[in-house]
Amino acid sequence: MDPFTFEIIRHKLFSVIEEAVIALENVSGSPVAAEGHDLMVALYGAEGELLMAGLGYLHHLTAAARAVQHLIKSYSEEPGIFQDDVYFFNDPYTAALHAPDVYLISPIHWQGKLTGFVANFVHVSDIGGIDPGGFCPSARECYQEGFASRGIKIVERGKLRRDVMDTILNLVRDSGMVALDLKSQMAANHTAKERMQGIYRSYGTETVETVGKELIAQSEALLRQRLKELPDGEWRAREYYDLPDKICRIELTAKKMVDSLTYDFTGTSEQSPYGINCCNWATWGALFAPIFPLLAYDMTWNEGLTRPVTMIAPEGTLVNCRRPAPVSIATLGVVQVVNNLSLIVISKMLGASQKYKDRATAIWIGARSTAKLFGLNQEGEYIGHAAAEALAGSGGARAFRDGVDVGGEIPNVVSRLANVETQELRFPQLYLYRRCVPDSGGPGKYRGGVSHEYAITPHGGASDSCKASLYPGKGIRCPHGSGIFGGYPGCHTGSVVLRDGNISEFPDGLPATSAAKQENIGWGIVELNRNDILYLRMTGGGGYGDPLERNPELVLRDVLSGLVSVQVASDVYGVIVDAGSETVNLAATNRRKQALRRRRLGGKHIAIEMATRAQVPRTASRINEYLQIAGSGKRAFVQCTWCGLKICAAGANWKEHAITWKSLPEVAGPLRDSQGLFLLMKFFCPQCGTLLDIDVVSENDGPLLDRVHIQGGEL
Amino acid sequence: MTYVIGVDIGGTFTDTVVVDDAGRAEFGKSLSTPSDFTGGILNSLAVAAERIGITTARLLEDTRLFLHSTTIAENAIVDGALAKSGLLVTRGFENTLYMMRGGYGRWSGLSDDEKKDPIYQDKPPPLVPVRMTRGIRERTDTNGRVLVRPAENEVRAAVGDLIRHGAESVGVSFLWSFRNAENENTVRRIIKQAFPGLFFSISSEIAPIMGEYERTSTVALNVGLGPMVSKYLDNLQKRLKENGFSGKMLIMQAYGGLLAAEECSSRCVGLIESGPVSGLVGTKLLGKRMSHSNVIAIDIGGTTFKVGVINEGAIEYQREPMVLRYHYALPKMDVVSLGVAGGSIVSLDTRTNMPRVGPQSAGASPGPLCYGFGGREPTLTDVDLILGYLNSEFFLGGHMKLRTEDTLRTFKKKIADPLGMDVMQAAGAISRLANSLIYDLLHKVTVSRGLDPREYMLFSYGGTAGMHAADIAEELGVKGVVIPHSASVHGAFGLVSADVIYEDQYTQPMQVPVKPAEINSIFARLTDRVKAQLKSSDFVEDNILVRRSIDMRFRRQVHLVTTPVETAGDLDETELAGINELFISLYQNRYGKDSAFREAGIELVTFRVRGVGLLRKPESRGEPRGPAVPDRAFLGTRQAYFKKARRSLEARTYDYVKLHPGNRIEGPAIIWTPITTIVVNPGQKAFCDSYKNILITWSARGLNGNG
Repeated sequence: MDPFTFEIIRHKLFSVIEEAVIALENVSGSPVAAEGHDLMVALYGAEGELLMAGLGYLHHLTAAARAVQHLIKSYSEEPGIFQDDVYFFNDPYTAALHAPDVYLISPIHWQGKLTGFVANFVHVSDIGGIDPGGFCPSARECYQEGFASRGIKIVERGKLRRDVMDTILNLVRDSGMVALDLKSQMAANHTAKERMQGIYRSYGTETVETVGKELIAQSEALLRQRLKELPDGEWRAREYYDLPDKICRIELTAKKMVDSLTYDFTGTSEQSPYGINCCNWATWGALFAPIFPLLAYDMTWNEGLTRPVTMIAPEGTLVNCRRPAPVSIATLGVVQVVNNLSLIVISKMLGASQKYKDRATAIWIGARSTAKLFGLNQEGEYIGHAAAEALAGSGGARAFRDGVDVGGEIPNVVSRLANVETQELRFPQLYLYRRCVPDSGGPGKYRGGVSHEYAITPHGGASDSCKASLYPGKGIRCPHGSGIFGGYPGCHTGSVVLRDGNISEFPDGLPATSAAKQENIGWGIVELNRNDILYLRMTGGGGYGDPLERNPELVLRDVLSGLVSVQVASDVYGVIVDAGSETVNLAATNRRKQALRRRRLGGKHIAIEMATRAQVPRTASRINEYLQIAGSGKRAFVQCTWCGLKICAAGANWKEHAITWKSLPEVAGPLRDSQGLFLLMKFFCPQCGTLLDIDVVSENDGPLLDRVHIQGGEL
Repeated sequence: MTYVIGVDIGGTFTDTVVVDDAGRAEFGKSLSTPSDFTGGILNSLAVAAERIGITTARLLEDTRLFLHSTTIAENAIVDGALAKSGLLVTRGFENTLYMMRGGYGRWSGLSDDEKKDPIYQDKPPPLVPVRMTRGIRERTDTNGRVLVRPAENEVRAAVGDLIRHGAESVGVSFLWSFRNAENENTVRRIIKQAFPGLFFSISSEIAPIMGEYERTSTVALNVGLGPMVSKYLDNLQKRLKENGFSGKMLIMQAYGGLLAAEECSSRCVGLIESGPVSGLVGTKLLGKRMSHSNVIAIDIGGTTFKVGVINEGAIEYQREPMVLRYHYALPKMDVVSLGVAGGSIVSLDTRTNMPRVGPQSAGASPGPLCYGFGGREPTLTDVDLILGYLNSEFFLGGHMKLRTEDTLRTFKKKIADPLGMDVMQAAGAISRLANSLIYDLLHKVTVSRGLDPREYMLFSYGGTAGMHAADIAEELGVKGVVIPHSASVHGAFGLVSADVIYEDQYTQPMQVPVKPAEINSIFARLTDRVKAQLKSSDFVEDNILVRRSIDMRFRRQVHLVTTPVETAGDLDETELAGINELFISLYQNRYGKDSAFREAGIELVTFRVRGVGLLRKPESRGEPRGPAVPDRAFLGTRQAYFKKARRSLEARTYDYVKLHPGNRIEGPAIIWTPITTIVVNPGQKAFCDSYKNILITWSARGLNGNG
């Protein structure tokens, strides 16, 4: 294959997907798909292998591959896969993430021969579950979550199966919108198919197939090469899921050896009676979503990237549930937890590499509180509305810069927030405010991106009330926006119903709101009546590094922009801002920072030069932002790169030799009330008091133990 | 004799077209003078005046209309030279601009490859920082009902506070103001009264469209540009007056029409990208004269690549306009900027050895290797040189010696050797790859918008385009290629092809069936307003055209399609039904046969009226055709690489300046013009028409080569 034809076809394959996405958006009526990019289109080979991925929700790429493979295996003979068929597929226990994320899968034929597939997903408006909108907080088993098809032809040899379509539409609420969703999906597949056939016509199927195979081999080789460049080791991450009656754990150990990566979820809690669970393929997709943009940002996203990775997900747990566990909230539930865990272990691995350390990032938008609204529009029709707010995001802090404020997310690198005016037009509601949340970004040397909050009230519909379905219920008491290498977590989510509020005063934030009754509720169906207010807040991005290291000028900028309060500037960053003169009081700041360092060491005297980073010679074996392995052989030791202190022998667990404090999450700022259930376990250098790392822990859980191997063996 | 002058300031050159009463056009060209653009304008005018045979002063004295387009708005944004501004917004929504619709502000404007790497992405700094934004307690709802009115004392205090913090201008953007401007109008009245002389804009006037982020961003750009643009226009008027000009100055707007300079000062955001739009407007007139109502216009220079499409004589509007990663919402003619140009760097992927063209560009500085300005990486222009297309004697008027030896050496070392190919093969393959990228981009702006390239002519502008156009055109399957005679003063020619246009619009979503009376009263109000504006610019009823349209959609779908109202006067039920039918067919043409969601019903959203004040256009005066054989222009033969043959062939070469109407040239051939190099491939034929436009056709598909 000459490299030019190769490059031309590679580019054309990507263009096919882009054009299909445009076709989907053009037809769609879904504000989250068309305005928020909550969608995905990808090309698959004749055997169902992922050939070329588009930009969109990345966890679907591998899941849809699985769905295509299922069709090939089960239906090739009976009823057969023919030219211009379109299959409808949405069964989570076979491949989909949850039932409302419908895959439409079209075989692509050329001169009578099956040459590949195109598949896409959108979250359809409803799928017939116990609660409207596809997310079912009331369901306790999957059979209450709507219908799930393991593959049925909705179009057969180019003709719409009206019987099938009618059956589907008869099973759902707001069938008009669901019909439109399916129509937009068909348009995308149709466009992709036509464009692929054009490419076959110009280059021949064999050439295209060869390019596909080579691209897959190339991506695999490139990812393996990248893994080789990174240190071997084991990195751990843990998140808690704070359910109404129970706290669950999701545990991950990532093991990187030479050019392969193993994700082991052993230790994860058993499956839940609430619909947050992941089936096996949802977890598999969720762990890849961060791998694509964080490790494979310069590679073609295809099947090849999955080959160096293996997963151990014990059956019957939150990450590999068994029927009849409900899964309808998986995408905002455990899928996002797995996204977070995967991001953290990758970041820890990148942070241990001299070459890739700048690519480490704290968690982006670790949790979100979400509402789907249902009610009568102005014309008296019953409609559902997926608020686009969950797509706003908040960026995790990076090794070289702050997280992007309200900056989107990693699993869908091109998501975006819809305008308030569009939201009000599409559902009879009035926004009281939508704004950035001060102090929501996790403090650190680089601050996590701030999140946003908003409040709505029913307004202008045929009735004065509507229903809100609230989920995924996580992050209200438990920190999810973890920082990295000493960075603090972002703020918690908020989900509050205020009864009979002071609407006529147009409050512009929670403090300005008064109401007859306030209910903190993040899970379930609530009714909103005239003058009731629904308030929702997202998690801020995690911070990177010790906040005492943050440049005081950046803290001042944040205070003046209303992103950080004077209180947090002083308490967490040790920076004394004089808001009147808009300056930093440097002398007071230096005193304050020193006092904070002293407090970290339990009041012990601390040398003044510990306030600045010493010139510690760097070795080749980095552990993270503040630690490295120095010395050699048996005398190798873990060293603080801030002050040079030898913390412990290289083989020992450094966390046991650091000064450890457990504190409430509020030490990182307001909006972090854990009701004592979750604590931050902080690890400081015993000499300089630098904050080396933070683990979020519950009850008696211990710290997360990571191991970085150095050349010549494990330490 | 009186004149109409069009002057277009581009990045490098300031171009002039002067049209006299008889419709005769003369061109002028001079280097732009960024420190004070009026210098370049006067120089360029002098060149044109000399060609006419009069003095610049005389030319200006006898000029009725001075038409102008300029890049100063884009430049100010790129250079960060916007005025310090303040914003008043609905309280509770002070962060709208800062949030930039979440991730959108982070990734929009990036290439597909860049989008895959979020770690190195950031939003641009907000046009107006949160510190300079004040929330006002006020609210209007979806139906345009005012829920809270702004209090005068609050507005005065907020504006005063912004001025104390250094604001030189103030923007106002309230929720749903495009639906009911009452609250913004109240604020306007208060500001005018309390802060006379302050530059300010209200969103319902500048960008009356739905979507508070884009509307606010548009206002922010407008007040950021305002003080500087008004100063520039005042100064230009003054300098022209000093030189004898006493006519009227009109400024090109990105919606494709001219606007009185005084008006433009308060709506300066309309200047953004008005230069390229002007070029497209000129192409439209040229196309019409040549009987081509479907045109794809490409302009590929050293640093930029712009594409515009004329479909059935109409130019489409852009979906999500953006300037330097800042969004704005204005009716703006769609000129798409793409990342492949002469300066695009050619490289090999260090890991896979795969060839790449761009996305990095050597730009004008350091530029391609062959310029010898210090460029170290081979570019597409270098590839064109290696293939044998470029000629030092003709390159930029012969002022630049091209360094062939150095270029060959570096290209061999960096590209050909690692690929294991000989230099010519490698260069040919790179050129093929570049053409394929351009092909895909053109495909995206035509086929994926439902336009069939086979019905289009490709008009080629810019230094780089001439060498690639004919090749891409044949693959794309268009009818043929035109390299217009006016290509060297592309933008200025567009100015003298344009009309004065005032647009007004009103957004009020309503569902079919609607009462004709309701629509008629909206249109009557809008029509009165635009006519009054045109009449104040000295147009009489006879020279005024009114065009009406309605943005429509299927209920519950997202996309709006602007549907023209093709009848005049008040509409009745039958005519309304006709508009619905037209909408359905337009929608399906654009988004596909099965895309329409008729079951949901149709919604009328925005009513638009465009008042056109007709200006006299330059006449085309063709020269009689001479002999077919272009002997006079023949320069000799040279070896050049042709992609179709995959090898070097002997090409005949010609001097464009010496070509005569009627001349015919068969490929393989090369024609050098003062601004570009035209490559005619084997099997293609070039024809010089009566107006000295070059037409390239081929026999397989399209025209039969007889022009």
